[in-house]
Amino acid sequence: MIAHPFSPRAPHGWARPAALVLLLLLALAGCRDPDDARSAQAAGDGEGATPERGGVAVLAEHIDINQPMPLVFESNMDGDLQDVLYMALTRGVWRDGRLVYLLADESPMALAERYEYAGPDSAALVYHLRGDVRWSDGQPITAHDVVWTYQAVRDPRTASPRQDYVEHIDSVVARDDSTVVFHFAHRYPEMLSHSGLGIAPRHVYQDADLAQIRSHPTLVNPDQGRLVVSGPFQIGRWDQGQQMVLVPNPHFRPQPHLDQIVIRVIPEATTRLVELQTGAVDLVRPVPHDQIPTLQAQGERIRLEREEKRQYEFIAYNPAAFAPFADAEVRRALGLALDVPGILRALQMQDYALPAAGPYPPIFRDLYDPERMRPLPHDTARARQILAAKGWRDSDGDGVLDKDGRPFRFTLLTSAANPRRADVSQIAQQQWKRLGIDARLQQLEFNTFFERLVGREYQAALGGWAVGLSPDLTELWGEDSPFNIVDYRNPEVSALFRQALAQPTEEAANRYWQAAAARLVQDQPYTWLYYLDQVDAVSNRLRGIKIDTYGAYQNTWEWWIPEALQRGTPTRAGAAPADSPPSAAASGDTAR
Amino acid sequence: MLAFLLRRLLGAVPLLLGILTLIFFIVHLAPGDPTARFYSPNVAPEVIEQMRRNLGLDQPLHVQYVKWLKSFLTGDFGYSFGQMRPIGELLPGVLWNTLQLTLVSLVLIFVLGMLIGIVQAVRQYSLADNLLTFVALFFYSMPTFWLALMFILFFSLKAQQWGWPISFPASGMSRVGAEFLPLHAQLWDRVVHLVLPAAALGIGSAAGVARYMRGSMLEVIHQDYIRTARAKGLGEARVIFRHALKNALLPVITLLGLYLPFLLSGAVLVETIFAWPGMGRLIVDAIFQRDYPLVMATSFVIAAVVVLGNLVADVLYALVDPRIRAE
Repeated sequence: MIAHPFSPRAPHGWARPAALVLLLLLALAGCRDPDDARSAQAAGDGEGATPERGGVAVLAEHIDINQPMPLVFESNMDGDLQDVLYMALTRGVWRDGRLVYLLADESPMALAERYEYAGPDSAALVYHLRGDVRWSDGQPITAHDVVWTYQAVRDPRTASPRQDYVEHIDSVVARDDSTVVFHFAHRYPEMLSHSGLGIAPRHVYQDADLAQIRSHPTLVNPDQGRLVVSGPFQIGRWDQGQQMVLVPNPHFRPQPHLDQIVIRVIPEATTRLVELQTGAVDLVRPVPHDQIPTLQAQGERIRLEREEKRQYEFIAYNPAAFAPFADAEVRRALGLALDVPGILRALQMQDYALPAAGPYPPIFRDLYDPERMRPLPHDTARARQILAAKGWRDSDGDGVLDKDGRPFRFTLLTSAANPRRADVSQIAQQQWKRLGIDARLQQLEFNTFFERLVGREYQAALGGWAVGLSPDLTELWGEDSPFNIVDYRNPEVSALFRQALAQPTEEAANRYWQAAAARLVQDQPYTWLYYLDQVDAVSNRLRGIKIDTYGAYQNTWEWWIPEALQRGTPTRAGAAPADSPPSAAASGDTAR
Repeated sequence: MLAFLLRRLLGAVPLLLGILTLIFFIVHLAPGDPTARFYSPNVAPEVIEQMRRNLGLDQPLHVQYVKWLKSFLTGDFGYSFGQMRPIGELLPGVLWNTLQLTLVSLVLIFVLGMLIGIVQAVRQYSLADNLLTFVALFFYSMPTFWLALMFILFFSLKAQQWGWPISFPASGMSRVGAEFLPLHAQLWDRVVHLVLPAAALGIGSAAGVARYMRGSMLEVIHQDYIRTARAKGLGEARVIFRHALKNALLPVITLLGLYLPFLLSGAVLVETIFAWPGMGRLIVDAIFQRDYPLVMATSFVIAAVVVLGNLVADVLYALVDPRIRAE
């Protein structure tokens, strides 16, 4: 589930340098092809239908919200909620395989009307803000809010997980109420992304102790509109561990169509799907792959939305703990022995996963190169040849290869929380066994597993990463990165990284990243197994929802439910709103 | 009696402190760290260090222990690292959620279990006895999570699809917008939401209680004083419920003492499957997140309930058995 359940993610994770995030069970992080989303939308909505007002959308998520605030949000769920609660200078979207930043004319979530590069080497960005936007408490949103937000993120006392945003920012200055200037240390591709943090209200937090910002009263009790936000919805009610009720922010334009969005916490995947089928919830994410056929049998009532292959799973080989892994050819042989398409078929994942070739999933249109980076074929004969050429043979007839008296025997770690990976590790064990390789399996609790990975205290490990939308590979493969879990070192690759990072624009940098990726694939420090889609299920009641790279919550103000399908919306008076049909209001569907 | 209670309660204090101290060091020595969830390529080690300082995790373990003990003894459970709010604010709500679930299922366990046990004992070797034995053993041997999923499948999903007169909600404590309903409708809504989780939680244990009840009842029914009671012309109901049942209750009371704490901590699976926001889920999440203060607070509650459960059992013994009172 969940990309590492607590890692920064989604919209804000995209753009930043290699937001690579450890996957736990079913990854949450999402992205999708916009065409796909559009077609799904058209199919679900009935094209050209006019949105109708009112109604309550109920969403089922597997974890609760933690920190609904741009400075300190933590989990994927928090990241999703940022899309609903806070505006930023620009709004990122994934269009045709590239990240694009929208301004106010294209997205009501963008604060800036326009921006321009300035300074001698274009190392500064000047943003011009809209003048007509207000916080949910009615105060105007100004350039000073932007300045304060970046100051607070930079302040070490905040200990903000977003500090990497400000790494290359020298200063942020408000020229006047509606103009803000970002001065960067140098021109680089991610300037727009790094100035795109969600903006927090200065007037609420400026007197707070930043070291204790996480327990600020507005965050401990954000409901009844106490949390001051700028997005289409604010928090109306929060029963922790149970549900969060979002109600429209009266100062957001355009006003949302829905009366309420209820986000319910349902940890168990099966229960989430039953609630979708009984009509108690309208959106479930993510759907475990083995449950997809059941939902497909539901016909038109439920549509499945696909968040495109931005996660991959891999087997990492740690040469420091098992010497034979130091040889790239041996690692290649281990990969050749695995029948990845067969694994995908066996686990009924073939429609939602693609055999992987390297560090860039196919959604990176400019980086994924199917010609240069092909998945390893399943070729046991070739694998045998390689191992024999390297001196591995079964000299004592015990069925296990050996060399210099040492058997080819290692332990493959994986995290216990992920049933899919447990299955894959068992299949891999069997397929290696045919070659005379003896892999012992061990499952660990996630935290322990992660610590062992980063501490490089393992021989081989089956894990997964959710990939950020930036091409930066250094976080996983840089010589100093703690997430270089196999301690990969190749001077040629490091030189390519340095060249890529020195480029002013993404276009210039991409060819270096691509070359570095190709070299990495040659070295096979991992066996890349498959790129995975996340699948979400949406009830046909809920229209206008756009699920793409930016997550499922990116256009909540456009969601709507046809009047005939609206459930009675409970109000304080206990009556349904005037525009909902009396039958739906009166039935009160207690037993659902 | 009062002196006995006081003695037992005072004796529990060092026991609880010992348990908590042990738990404190075990959770702190377990691999992982509350800041581990921030561990990602985007977060610099200095940021993690600052978070540790903000949470007071940079101090030596014994200093942390003394600090924790001090605030604990003054009734302050501290802040939850995971939810960043005072545990004193968090715990009562969650505890109440769990209590609603577990008390209902406790009643179910004992009322249902005892009734079945009595029927079986009174009609020993009858068709009813054999049938009930079979059913009881079936439910007793089914894992809770499987039962829970089957209940959801049949009484929520299929009930709706097949158009049964009533279907139950598969998750949560109340329906969306329940807070705006009139009080009686809110209560009914809660009852409807309680049915499946309470049944899933209780039915296996009820089967267990039934087996105990049957055995213990059979033993009593064949005693001389029961024959005497019948001989002096008492009605069968009076013989069974007044004379036999009271004497057959002792082993069942032992079970009650054992089940009380189990119901608080043992509801983890049921709470997860039915999305019931109770103690079980809170504890598991706290452990996974290494939310030390919350782990300590929830452990305290459970340890206290264990002690209390045993105390209640002892008091009940005394109530039903004059011989124990005399001692």
